[in-house]
Amino acid sequence: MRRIAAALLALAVLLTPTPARACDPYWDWCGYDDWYDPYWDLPAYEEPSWSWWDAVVYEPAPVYVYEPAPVYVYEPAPIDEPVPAYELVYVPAPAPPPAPAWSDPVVWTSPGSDMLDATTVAAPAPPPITPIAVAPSPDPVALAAAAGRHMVTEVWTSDIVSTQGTTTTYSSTTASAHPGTSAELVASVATGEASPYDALLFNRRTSLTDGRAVKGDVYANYVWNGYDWVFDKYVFFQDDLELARLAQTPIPTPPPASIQPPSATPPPSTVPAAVPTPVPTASPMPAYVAPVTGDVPPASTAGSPPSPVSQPRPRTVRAGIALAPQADPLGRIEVLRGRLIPLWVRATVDGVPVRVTRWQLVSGDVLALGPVSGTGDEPLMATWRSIPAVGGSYTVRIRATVDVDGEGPRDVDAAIDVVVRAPALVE
Amino acid sequence: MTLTTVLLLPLILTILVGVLELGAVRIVAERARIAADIATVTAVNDQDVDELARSGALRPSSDAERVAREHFALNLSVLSASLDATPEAIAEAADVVVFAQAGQVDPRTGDAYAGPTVRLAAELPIRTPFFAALLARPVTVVQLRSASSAR
Repeated sequence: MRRIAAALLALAVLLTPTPARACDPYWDWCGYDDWYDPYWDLPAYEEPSWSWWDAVVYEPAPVYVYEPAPVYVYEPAPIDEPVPAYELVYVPAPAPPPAPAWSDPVVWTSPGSDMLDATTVAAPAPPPITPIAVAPSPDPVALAAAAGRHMVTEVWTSDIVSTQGTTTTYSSTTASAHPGTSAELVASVATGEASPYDALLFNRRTSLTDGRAVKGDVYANYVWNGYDWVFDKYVFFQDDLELARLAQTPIPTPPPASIQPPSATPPPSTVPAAVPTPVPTASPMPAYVAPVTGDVPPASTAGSPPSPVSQPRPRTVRAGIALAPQADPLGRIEVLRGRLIPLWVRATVDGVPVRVTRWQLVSGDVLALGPVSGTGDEPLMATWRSIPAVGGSYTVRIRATVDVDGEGPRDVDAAIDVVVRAPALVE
Repeated sequence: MTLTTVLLLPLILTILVGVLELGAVRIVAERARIAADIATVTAVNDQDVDELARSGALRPSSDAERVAREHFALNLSVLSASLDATPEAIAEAADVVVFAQAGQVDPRTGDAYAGPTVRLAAELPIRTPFFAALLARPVTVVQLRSASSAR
């Protein structure tokens, strides 16, 4: 009961009217709030609070000040750009003297006079504008000529390799154009001669059938950037001839009857001079020269007269990796993680399998469980313990050494992509 | 108070027994599902070496189905006291299919697998003695399905 009485007492105390509410505005001073007029624009005033529910903040009425909207005048900002030296500088004409205006200063006609002299006062003369010395624009043609270059009138378009009889011509095609560039001959390389520009050429330098680089000229191309010539690229113009090898042994072929043998005083005629032209004839020794590779002409052309042309061709050596001694090489395999996979190195020369005399692991994220080099009779025992990223694979590169007939040992790389997988739940 | 307790005691005991039995069934079913998952993972964790040497592709071994059944039975052996059939019988009756090619569609679920997959579906009979007393259901059958692929 005491608790209930205490609670009721506390509630009664809280609900007791506060003195502020008991104030009679006609007889008592109840504070400014009782005669507060918002139009008076009084400062903020907070009524004295006597209890927790009377804490009301009174704010003054808003004051609206009507002011004209500002007018923004946009002026072009000065562009801080350097004036190119080769451009003409615009020098403005001197401004005319200002007309008389009321704002101009006036003076009295005389000291003590009450009359004003409306004549203008001579404004100080503006300083003379001195024109800026402008450097003349450089002449690109003159600069190119001074540097020993010429303006380009023919541009490289493509390389042409044409065979006419026993002659193979390596040339470049050009097109007439005036691209505004200049060029300079920097090197003339001979057949088979290595050039430091070979690796810098814009177009590739081709090779003859025997592997030697073709002859030609290297031109350095320059472009004009407005004030100077800057290097652009190196262009190679090939110009070479290749004669196919003829018969090893010249075959004494009687000249045709229509061709007269050379005499001391040849008769004037349009017939060219007698040149011993090899004519393929049926002879015990054909004019066909077998290439070094030992290839034989195909059976379908065995009956036809063999071509007198024999072009030595480079041997194509390829290497691959198989997963079994008698399996075909593969380019991509899928293996389970941790499984031991044998990698057999295989090689072919012109498509014919040859023995791999030696192989060596070059690169690859692989764990070798055995020697990393060996002969073709030994595989690389490999395993993978990590899984690549989704969609990724590991590349294993092995360098194989094979003996090429007539050339000796040659190294060739074999590569295989390995996708490592691991079992996982699907559902 | 005492009378209320006496009257509600059968109901309380029934609910308690049902909850315990249902929990036990859930535990056995989860352990059997884990057994099926391990069995399919083990089955797919073997590669056909001949196919690997021929094409370089990953194909499950030819005995993947047998491996899945055997390992399913071995994994269920620890639950044999709770099962109404022998683990070997359950594994033998299970539907085990090996999808050797990627993209094959499972006729049971209609799902297409992205890689070679071993799928196992089985019915697991679990003994429920309290359900037999309460609901006349001595055996509760739980469907299991698991599929694993080398990814």
